[in-house]
Amino acid sequence: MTLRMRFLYAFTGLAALLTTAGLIGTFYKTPLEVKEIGFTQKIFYFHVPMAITSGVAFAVTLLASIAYLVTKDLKWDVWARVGAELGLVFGAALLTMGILWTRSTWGVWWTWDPRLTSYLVVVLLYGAYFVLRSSVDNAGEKARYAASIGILGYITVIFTMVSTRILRTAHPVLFKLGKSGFESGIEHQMLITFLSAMFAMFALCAALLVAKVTIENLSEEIEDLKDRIGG
Amino acid sequence: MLALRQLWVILKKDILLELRTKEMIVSMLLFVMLTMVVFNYAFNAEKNDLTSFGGGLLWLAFIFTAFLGLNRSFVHEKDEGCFDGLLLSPVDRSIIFIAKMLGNLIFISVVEFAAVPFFTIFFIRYPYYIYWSRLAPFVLGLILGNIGIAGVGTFVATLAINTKRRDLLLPIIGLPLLMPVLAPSVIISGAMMGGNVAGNTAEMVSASMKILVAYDIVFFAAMALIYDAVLGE
Repeated sequence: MTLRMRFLYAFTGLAALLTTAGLIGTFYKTPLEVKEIGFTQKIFYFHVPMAITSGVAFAVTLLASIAYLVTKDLKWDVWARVGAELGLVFGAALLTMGILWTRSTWGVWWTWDPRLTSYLVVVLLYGAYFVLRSSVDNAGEKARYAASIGILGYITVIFTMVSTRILRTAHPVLFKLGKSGFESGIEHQMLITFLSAMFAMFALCAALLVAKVTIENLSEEIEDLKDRIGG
Repeated sequence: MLALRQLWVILKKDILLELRTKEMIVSMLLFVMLTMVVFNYAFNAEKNDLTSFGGGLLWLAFIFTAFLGLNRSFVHEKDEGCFDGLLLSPVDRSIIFIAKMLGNLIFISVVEFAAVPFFTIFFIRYPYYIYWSRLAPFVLGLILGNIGIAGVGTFVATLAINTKRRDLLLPIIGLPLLMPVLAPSVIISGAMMGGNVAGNTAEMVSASMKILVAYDIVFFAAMALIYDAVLGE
């Protein structure tokens, strides 16, 4: 078994284990923290980890894009593309969860809350990243153009997050899921649940990343073999 | 010194071309005026006071006008094979980027500064509150916003023109990349034209200026750095 396959199995197992732990914690162990919001508040335990994970996936794209522009090795382009795909998947799931949560707490399907707004921009941006990829045929050219958007895109993500927060100071904060509960040490279970969910999402993302990159490499190999036998 | 001279030569070429054909500026001027007519229909400007939406409408018109022009600026280069010539010439790629960006900045700014007086008399409620103290931040906000648009626009247009989808790509990639420019620009222009801003106006405007300056510097540096690697051999 190659090292990569070992990583894949380890991350998959870890993800399954921690997700189960996180779900048990979410449903049975944690208290209803904010009474007015009720049970839907518990979406938080998976919502926030997913947000962070998609940010990490886009960071993989950023680093792989820089690596590609420096080394011109196409293997980094595969990592960059898979990172963006996973970031989009987690981002789309995050937006769906966010919409549901918004509906149940604020009674509307959408609000132009800074965080929702930033994430919508991010999802549209990385959607455009794939439109750009599909518009170029030459592999090297495709990788170079995509790498530049992978880099500029991440800078935009940071700017969007920071600036929407600065410029919307007057925006009413209806409720805040503060860290006070964690810091006070009373809600030990909440911290454990949150951390299990967080590492579960990281492990899931890592497993998918390794799996997808492996698939891509294998399909390239198949194409090579096909070319060689004249298929 | 050599770099400056190379920059000037490329910039002069673009300006000369524009002065002879007047293609970009005339189309952009017509387009921006047409957008304003559309605003009249969209918001029933005869009945409604649009002052508080002034900043947003202004930048809505400007961003699409800018995209229209930016696409043109590379179509010539590509179709006449001029861009390949530029790439073959012994000039640093970053210099090409900066020269193209400066040219686009000039063209966009000319059109915008010509359009602002019309926009003001069309949509901003009289009296116009034009004080010198407001004019300076307004112009500064416009220029800082334009630097961002010209930079990102030039960079993305370079990529877009070399793809199958060509000019279709500029708005869908450029617009999300420019969101951090649009938000503060809208606040600055809106506040200076007499619209309402959430929170303390002076604080919001100065925060917006800082974001714009930071964006322009970071993006300019990043794009000038990777332009060479992105264009390839």
